[in-house]
Amino acid sequence: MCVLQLCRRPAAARRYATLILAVALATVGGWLRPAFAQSTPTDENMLKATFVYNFAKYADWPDNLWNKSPKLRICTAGERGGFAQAVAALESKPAIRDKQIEVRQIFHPEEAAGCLILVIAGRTRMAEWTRGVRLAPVLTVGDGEGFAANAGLIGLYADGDKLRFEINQEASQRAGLKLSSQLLKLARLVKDEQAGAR
Amino acid sequence: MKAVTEVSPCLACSRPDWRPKACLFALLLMGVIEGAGASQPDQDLTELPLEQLMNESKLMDASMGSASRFNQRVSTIPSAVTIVSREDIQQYGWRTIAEAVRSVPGFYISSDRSYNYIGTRGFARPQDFNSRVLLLIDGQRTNDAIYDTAYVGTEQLIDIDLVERIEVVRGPGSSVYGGNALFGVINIITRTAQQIDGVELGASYSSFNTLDGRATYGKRLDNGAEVVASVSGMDSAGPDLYFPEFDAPETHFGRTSGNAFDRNSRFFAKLSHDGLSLTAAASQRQNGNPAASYGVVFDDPANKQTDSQAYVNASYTRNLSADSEISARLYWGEYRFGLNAVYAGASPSDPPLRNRDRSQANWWGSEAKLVTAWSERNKLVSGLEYQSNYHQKQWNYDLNPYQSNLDDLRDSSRGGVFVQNDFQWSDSLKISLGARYDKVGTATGEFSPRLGLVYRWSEHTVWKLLYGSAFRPGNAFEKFYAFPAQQIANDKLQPEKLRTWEAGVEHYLGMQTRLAATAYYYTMDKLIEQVIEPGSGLLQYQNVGKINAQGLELEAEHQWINSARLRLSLDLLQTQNAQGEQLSNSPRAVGKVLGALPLPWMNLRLGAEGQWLSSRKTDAGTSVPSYGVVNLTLLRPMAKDGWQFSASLFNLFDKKFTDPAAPDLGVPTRDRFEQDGRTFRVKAVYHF
Repeated sequence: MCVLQLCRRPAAARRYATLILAVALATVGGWLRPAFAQSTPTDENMLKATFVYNFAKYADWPDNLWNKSPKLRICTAGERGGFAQAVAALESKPAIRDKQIEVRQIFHPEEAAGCLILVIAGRTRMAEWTRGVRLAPVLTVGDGEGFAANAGLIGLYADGDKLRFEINQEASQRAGLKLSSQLLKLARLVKDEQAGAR
Repeated sequence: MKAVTEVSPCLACSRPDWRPKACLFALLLMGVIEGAGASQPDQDLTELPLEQLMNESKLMDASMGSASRFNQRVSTIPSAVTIVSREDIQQYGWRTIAEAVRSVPGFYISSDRSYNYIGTRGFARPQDFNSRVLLLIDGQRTNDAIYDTAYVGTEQLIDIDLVERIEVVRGPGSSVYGGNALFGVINIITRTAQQIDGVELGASYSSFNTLDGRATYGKRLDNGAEVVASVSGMDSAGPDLYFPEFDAPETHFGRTSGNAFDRNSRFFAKLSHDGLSLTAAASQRQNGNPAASYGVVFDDPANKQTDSQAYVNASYTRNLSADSEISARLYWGEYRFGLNAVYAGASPSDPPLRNRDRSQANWWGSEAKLVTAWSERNKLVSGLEYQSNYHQKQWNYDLNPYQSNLDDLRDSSRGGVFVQNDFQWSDSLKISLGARYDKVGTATGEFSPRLGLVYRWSEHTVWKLLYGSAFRPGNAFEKFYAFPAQQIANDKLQPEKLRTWEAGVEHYLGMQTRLAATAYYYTMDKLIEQVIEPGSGLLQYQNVGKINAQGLELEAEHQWINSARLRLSLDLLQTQNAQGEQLSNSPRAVGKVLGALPLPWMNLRLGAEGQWLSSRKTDAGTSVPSYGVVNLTLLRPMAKDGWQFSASLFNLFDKKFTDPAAPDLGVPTRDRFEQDGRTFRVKAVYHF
C-alpha cells in the first residue's frame, strides 16, 4: 500500500485505507456489471450444445442436400437427458448460413434422413447408431467414450477441466462431409477402431 | 475433535494478529466478486468463438487419469482430487510447482531457503526431502533414486509455462503406483504441440533482480505427428537476508548478501505420432546456501549446491478394441547432486576446510498397463513395472588436504504388479477394489490394497469412502549415507507403512458450484526418522514409533457465468506422535482463498490468492506464529495480437512470517526460517 503513502502511518490508517479500497472496488464492480460482456457457459450440457451449434458453422454438406434442406435440422438420439434437452434449446438460436435451426428427436437410424446433424447422447447403443448412419451425409456428434473411434464424426470429451472434441476424418469422408481446417486444428484426430467386444 | 473447537466460525477473524487484514481482504474479495457475479447477463453464448469456449469454460466435474491410471470424472473417483489448470497458474502468477500445489486443500509448503518442502495433511517431518509424495510428469515417475525427492521448486524439471494442468490426488496411491505415494500423487500434464501451436517467447522480471526467459515451439504436422521443444533459463541474485542465529560481529551481524542466488536452465522435447511418444527432459539448478545449513561458514558465496535431472522415455498406447487399451513405457533417468561447502578450520589460524558432498543416480525402467472394460459393469486396470537403479553413488571428500569421508556405490531394483477392478454394482454404487505387490531390492514384498466406494446419492451429491494402504522404503540416502563422527548408515531400515481411511461428500450445484468435504484418519507405522543412535551418539535414520492423524478438509468452489471464480478451503487437523503430542511443522488449521475476476477494461483479469496457516511447533519445542499472505496478479490473457501480460504482487501486505526449521547440528540454535516479504513479478509472453 506504499502507493498511498500510508506506509509510515499507524496500522489503523492502513486498515481504513484497505477498507475504503474494498468498498470502492466492490462498488465499482457492481456498477460495471453490465460491462461484463464476455461470458462463459458453465453448465456442461449447455456447453456441449453450444459446441454442436458451432460445429454447424464449420461443416459443409453436399450441395444438393444443403440446398434442398429448408432448415438446419438437428436430430437427437441416444440417452434422454440434459444433453438432448440442451440441444433442443438451440432452436431459438440465430440461423446459420440463412437456415433456421430445428431440432427433432428420432428413435431409429432410418429416421436420420433429412437430419444434417445427429446428436447421439451417451454410450448406450452408441455404436448401433453410428454404424446405422455411417454412410449417410449426416454430421454425427456424440459424448460417449470412444464415440469418434466408433465411426462417429465428432466426439466430445473432458480433458482435465476442459471440454474438448475429437474428429474421425475417415468417418467424415465416408459421410461425404467437409470439415473446415480451423475445426480440425482445434481437434484431436482419431481413427476407426474395430468394433468392441460388445 | 479438538482442532475444531479451537477454530471459531470466522477462522481468520479469531486471530488477533491477523484479524484486520484477513477480514478486510475477505471483504474485498467477496465484495468485488459478488458485485461482478451477481447479475448474469442473458448473453448468447453461441456467438462466442469455439476456441474461446474451449479455453475459458471450466468443467466442475473434471476428468483425470492420475487416481487409478485411467481417465475418470472426479465425481467417480473414490479419492479427494484437485486439478490445477494452466489458467489457474497464469491467473494467480504461480512460478513453481510448489506454489501451484500449495493452493490445493491438504497441502502446505515450507522453505529452508534452499529447497521447498511439501507438507500434506499435517505431515511434514524434518529431514523429509519430499519422499512421501509421488511426482509424475505425464505419468512418468520423477522422484530420484537417492533421496526419493519430489522436486517442486526452481530445480523442477519442467518449466511451469509448459504445464497444461497438474492433477493432485490426496491420500494413498501405492495400490497403483507403489512406493512413495503415501500422502499424494502429483501428476504434471505437459501441453501438447496442438495446444502450443507455434512459437512462444516468454520473459519475466521480478524482485531480487530475477530474470526468466523461455522459448517454446509446438506444432502438429500434417501427417498428425506432434513436435514440442522448449528451452528456458532463470537467473536471480536473490535477496539480502538476516539470520538472527548468526547475529555476531564475526558473522557480519547475521546479514548476508549475494548468497541467495538461484539459477536454472531447462530443456524439454516431445515427439509423438500415432500412439508412440518420445520425451526428453533435462534441468540444472544451482543455488546458494544463504542460511549456512550444515554448519558451513556464514556469508561465503562458495557455499552452493547443484541439482541436475534428466530423463528420456518412449511410450506407446494402443486401443486393442473399443473397450481395451494397452500402453507400455521404457525410460531412463539420471539425478546428480553436488554440494560445495566451506567449513571453518579446526582453529582460527587454520585455513577453511573445503568439502564436497556428491551423489549420482542412474536408472532405467519399464512398465506396461492394460485398461479394459471387460463387461458392461466392470473396468479393470492392471500393470507391471520394473526399475533398475543401476548406479546409486554417494560420496564426500575434503579438498584441502584431500580426504575421502564417504564413497558408497550401490545398485538396487524395484518391481511391482497391480490390478484394480471398478465394479458398478448398481446405477448409484461403484466399488473399486485394487491392490499392488511390490518388491524393493531384497526386502520382503509390500502389499498395498485399496478399497473405494462411490455412492451417487442424487444427481448432485456423491459420497465417497476409501481405505488405502501405502508404503515407502528407506532410500539410498537414509540407508547408506554415513559421515565420520556425524551420521551412520542403517541398511536394516524397513519400509514405513501408512494406512488411511477417508470419507467424503461432493455436492455439485447446477454445474457452477462444487462443495466438498473429506474427513480422514491415517496411521503411520515404522516411521523413518533421523534420530540420535544411543550407542554412538551419532545421527541415524531409524524406524521409530508410530504417528496418527485425523482431519477435515472443506472446500467450496463457484464460477460465475462471466468467468469470475472463487474457491475457499479450510483444513482442520490434529496429529499425534507416539507421546500423543502434535507433530512439529503441523498446522492445525489451513485456510485458502482463490478468486479471479474479469475486469471491464482490456479483457484484464484480477486474481487474488490468500493463504493462512495456524501456528506450528518447531522441533526445538518453540512454535512459529500463524500467518496469512495475500498475492495479487493482474493478467491480460493471450489475445489475438499474440501478447500476454501479467503483473503480480506476492505477499501484498509484506507480512513477516517464518517456517519451522529442521534440526541442524551445524546450526543448533536455529528453529525457524524467515520467508520473503512483498515481492513482485512482471511477465510477458509473445506467441506467433
